[in-house]
Amino acid sequence: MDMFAHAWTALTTTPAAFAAIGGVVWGIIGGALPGISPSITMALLLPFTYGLEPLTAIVLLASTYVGAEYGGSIPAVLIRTPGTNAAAATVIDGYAMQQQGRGGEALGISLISGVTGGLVGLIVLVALTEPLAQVALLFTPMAYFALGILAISVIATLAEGMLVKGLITGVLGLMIAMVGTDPQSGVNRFTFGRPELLGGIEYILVMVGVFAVSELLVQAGLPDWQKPKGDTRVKLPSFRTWRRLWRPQAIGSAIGVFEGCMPGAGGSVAAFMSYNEAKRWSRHPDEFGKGSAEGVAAPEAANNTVACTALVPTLTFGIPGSNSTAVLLGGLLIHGLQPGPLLFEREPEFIYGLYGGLAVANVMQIPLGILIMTPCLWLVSRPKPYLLAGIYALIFSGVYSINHSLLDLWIVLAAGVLGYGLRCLGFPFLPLVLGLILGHMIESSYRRSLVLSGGDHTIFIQDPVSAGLLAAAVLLVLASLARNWYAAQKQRRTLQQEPRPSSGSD
Amino acid sequence: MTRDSAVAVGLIGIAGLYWLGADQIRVSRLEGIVGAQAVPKNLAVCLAILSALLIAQDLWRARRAAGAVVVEADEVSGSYAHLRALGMLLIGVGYLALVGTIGYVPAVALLVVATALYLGQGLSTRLLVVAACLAVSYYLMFVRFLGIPLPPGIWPGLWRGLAG
Repeated sequence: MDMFAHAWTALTTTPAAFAAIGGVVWGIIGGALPGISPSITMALLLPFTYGLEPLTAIVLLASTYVGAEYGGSIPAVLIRTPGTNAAAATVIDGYAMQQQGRGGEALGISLISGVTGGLVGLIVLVALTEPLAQVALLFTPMAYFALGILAISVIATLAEGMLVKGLITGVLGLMIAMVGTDPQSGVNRFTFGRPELLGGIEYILVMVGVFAVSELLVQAGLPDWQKPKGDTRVKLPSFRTWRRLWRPQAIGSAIGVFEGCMPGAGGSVAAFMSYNEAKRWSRHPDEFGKGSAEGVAAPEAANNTVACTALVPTLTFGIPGSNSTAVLLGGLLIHGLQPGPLLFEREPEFIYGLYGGLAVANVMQIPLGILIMTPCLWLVSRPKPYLLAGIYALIFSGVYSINHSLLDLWIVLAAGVLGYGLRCLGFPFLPLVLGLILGHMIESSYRRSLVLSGGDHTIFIQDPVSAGLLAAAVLLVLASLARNWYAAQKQRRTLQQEPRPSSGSD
Repeated sequence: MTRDSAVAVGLIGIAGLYWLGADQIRVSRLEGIVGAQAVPKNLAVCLAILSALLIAQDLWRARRAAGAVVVEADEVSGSYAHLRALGMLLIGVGYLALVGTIGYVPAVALLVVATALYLGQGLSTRLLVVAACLAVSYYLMFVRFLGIPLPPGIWPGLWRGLAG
């Protein structure tokens, strides 16, 4: 009951409820624009959250994530182009329904399934975060150091076939985090005499650069995306239809819970897995791929569940599992909120307010998703040059608003070039962002541990939690290496078994 | 030398420079057992080791492939895409070079016009109107509504000079 009282107080005494509504609207618009992922949509909003109260800011960001997961299904259904990676599975049956003149029905199913999945995810978030955060009370500085190493290792291993590259970008992120004044001794590191760098390089600048600016640079070389034709209205399914979709929605929600709580798995993995499982357990599997309502319901329930459950590792351990939760973690840290058990003890109003804000965001998605369809379609139909130009100007304006410094804009451009370079060279950039965000925690935990042990590094093995986490990191790396080796062997066998082209004529 | 190996060699160079930079960090009496140099130096060593591993991995893959054509799946490839990206970057650089002088509103309008033209939109009255509207809208949102002092440029000083 305390929880509901806290949530009600937070929603009625702060602008959090309006932030939830605004976040959903912004997220739907951002998600509907092909190429603009939820993380970019959230990164664009980050500079604007500086002047807001912490709860309002974080509810705004989290609601953006929720809205963007539905927004991504709009172009997926209408023009066969997923607005977000997680909507890629929705394209299969969603676009088929559009071709059959049932586009509005597909969007309605996507909306309702998304809300269902989101509410399930919220219940899991409420149930799991506080108990897990109590586990974090057992963490010593050694354990926090090991947790940071594990987090970067997890993200690096999830980049298929790019383990070494993932670890390299993680280290690069940690190296960038070293810039600034050393908190322990007060000496300057890598500041090159610039007073603006004494406080370090703000990760919001790197995040906006790596996510948003690099995307603009990529989009400059791509052709225009297809525009939706006509005016499609969202058609909500009847209660009977919604009830018939309980199985794919349940499958999607269950998979979304599991994948969301696992760092790095993300909405797109959950969406495809849900699609496959929904087809496997369906009474009409032959309809999949030809406009099956279940083929839309399952992935949409999954990716919206992930939007809530991905907050579990983020709030309990401060380990973001995806680009979007990395941006959210950046938002938490900007507002002085350190994830972990102390957050639940010291800021219960914030935690329960966040739950309340997410509940408002998920429920309000229904009327907002219907109301915003027409303006959303209008916006998506604007010429791409205008959209990208507007976003470019928005990035510069938003970033300048943080410190009123032109140097920040140069840093954002440089980070954009770095992000573009990483994409060109096949390096994942989530480990870089993670290294940057977790750099201070990792370094301070490392140094504190060695102070405790008098310089003896075996303390990381003697502490059982630390030893377990480091062992998990090593096992993950070894498992990834084994998986890559096995995949290479399989590919080699496949190539060897392929029939050779005939050399003579008949 | 393949691309990955070339990148890895570059990264080893960066690791070396970083290590030298870390070596320049002043030693303070306030330091504990682990000084301010320690973690940066360790990171430089890690980067060098990982880069060497990348070269080894690349060589191993090349040996396994042995003659087969390996197409690296990249998100972005082709000199056309890189040139387009460079142009977009230069537009951003141009904005940063000008905004302090000409002020926020004209700079944003120019940014929008330049970006739209660069991305294939033809010069038209509509483009100029859209640029002006976006610039004014952003000014109203940031300066008037959010109270953020965006660069005014030389105009206030010029106006004061003319008026005074």
